[in-house]
Amino acid sequence: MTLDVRNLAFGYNGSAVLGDVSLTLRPGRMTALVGPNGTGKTTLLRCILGLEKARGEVLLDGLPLREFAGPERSRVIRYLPQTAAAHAALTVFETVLLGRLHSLALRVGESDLQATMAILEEMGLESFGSRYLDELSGGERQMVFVTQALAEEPRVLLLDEPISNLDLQNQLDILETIRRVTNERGIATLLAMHDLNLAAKFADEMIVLHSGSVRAAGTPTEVLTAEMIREVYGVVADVRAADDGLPTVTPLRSLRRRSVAADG
Amino acid sequence: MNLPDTSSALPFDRPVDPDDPERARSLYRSIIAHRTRTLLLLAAACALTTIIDISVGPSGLTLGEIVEALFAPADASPAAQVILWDLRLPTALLALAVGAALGIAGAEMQTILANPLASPYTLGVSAGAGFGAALAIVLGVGVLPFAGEYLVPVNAFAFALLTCLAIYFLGTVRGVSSETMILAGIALLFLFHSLLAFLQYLASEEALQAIVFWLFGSLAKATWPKVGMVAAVVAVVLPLLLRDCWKLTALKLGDERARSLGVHVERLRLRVFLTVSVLTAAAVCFVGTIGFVGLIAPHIARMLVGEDQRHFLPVAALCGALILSAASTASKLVIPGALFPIGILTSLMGIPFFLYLVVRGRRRYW
Repeated sequence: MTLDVRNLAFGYNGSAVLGDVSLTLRPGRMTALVGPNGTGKTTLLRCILGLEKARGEVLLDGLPLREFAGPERSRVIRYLPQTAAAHAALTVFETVLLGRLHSLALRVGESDLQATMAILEEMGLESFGSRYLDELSGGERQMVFVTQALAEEPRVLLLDEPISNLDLQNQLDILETIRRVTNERGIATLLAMHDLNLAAKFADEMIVLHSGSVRAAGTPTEVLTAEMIREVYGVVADVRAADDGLPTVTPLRSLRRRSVAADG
Repeated sequence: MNLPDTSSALPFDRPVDPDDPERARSLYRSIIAHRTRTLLLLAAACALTTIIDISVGPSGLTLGEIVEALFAPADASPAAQVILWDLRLPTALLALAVGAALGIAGAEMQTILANPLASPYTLGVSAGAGFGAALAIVLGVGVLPFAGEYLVPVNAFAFALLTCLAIYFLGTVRGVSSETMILAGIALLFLFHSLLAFLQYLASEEALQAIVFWLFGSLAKATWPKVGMVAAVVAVVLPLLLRDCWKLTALKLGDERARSLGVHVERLRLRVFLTVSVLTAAAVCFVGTIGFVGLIAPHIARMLVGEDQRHFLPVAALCGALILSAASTASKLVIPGALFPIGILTSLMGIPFFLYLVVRGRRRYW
């Protein structure tokens, strides 16, 4: 399914957080949403999902998203929020099963059990089924929540900084998994993240959000320039093409720190 | 992802056989079986404490007389009949019903407010009920003018419910957030304690004694209609809550995760809070302030069976019932011949056990 965001605008108490954001997510394509802290990435994801009432339109294959009933909408679009670790006394199997919330009854049906087992096996988590969430490492727990998001075979995935607070190996594992399911299942994926090099490595497209507006959009090579990084992040960086042709960003210095030092 | 093998960590953990076509069901069964066993064991323990509860008392009836009065009332002495059917059975069953109600109320308050300290007592609901009861005792002022012998419980019920509604509406001032609801509850707890102290200051010697006795919490005034009313509320509320069992389980993963799964968090929180308010009011209005059960029963349930609400809720109810039933028995044994206030005992008996569980507990749920 293709997700079209058209002229999305949103504000709190009269001040604009998002202004006129338009973007398109295509099936089987992974789009990285980058930008400084507080620039509106989480708000944009929440607005697309309908958790915030924004102006503008969100279309799924040309149909307005708001015309989808609640359960249908959360089945088609899955959102993985960036929240603190959940201290719930739940097993991995139950957590992933909850991804199929709308079809669950007091007695869990065979199809829900089979589908949960199938996705656990696909993600290599089957031997973890009866383990409690708090017995997992941060990376394992995040993998469980990615698996939960896939439990009802969504067509669109919105992921809010899924690799923050993870070590390098876990970051790569999670991103590789997300890219694999995006390609194999033809999911349209939007991934808010901070690491520009990992975004360049894994994403097909990048969108740079700055002060609530899209500052740049396109392939990583088109988007990642020293000029953009200087303007959006206030950082002087060296951007070069690596051996595989992908841009690599080496941050050199912050412009803000220089001016503070100069003031002092 | 390279996951370390720690599969021996769990008692019921087992490797999945990829060639087993029934592997999904067998893994699910391995999780569920342990919980079902726990549920049945707790039910049996409740039955046992109830039998002990009706067997002990100041009148010195023998076990034979009790059994005769229970199964062949016509052959039993009138005294044994009255003691068993009018005193011991209603008291024992009210302990079970109130304990179950407090267990469920605490479990759901902790779930929807995402706070391990939430309970009817810590949120000021019991204090509100106490103030309502004291109003009736001291001033004879009731919300229903012709409530008669039910003046005190009706007042306690109304004020418990009002406290819950106040918590909810104060909590909604800045969106329905669990933090503001908890702060509102704690503020009301202190408000009612002050108002209660003021009423005690005004009260006559006799009224003061009645208030203090009510605040201690007691099953002494148990009657069949009271047992019926509390049991009926539990019987209505439990299935209502179980209808939302998966949504409530999802809520434990956090508001935002629950929303992402399609749960309308604010609506669920309102519905469950109102349901639990009625349950709490019904539980505290007949027996007074019984702290602690509503706080500890859900924690024990969580440690025993986790937080899949399909098991968590009934187990929290049974834990509450078991604690109060055991306390009811103990209250008759502390001072032979006298009924010790049960509210004092529940805390004294439960806290060491609770602290033991907290210290020994391997898992972090909060």
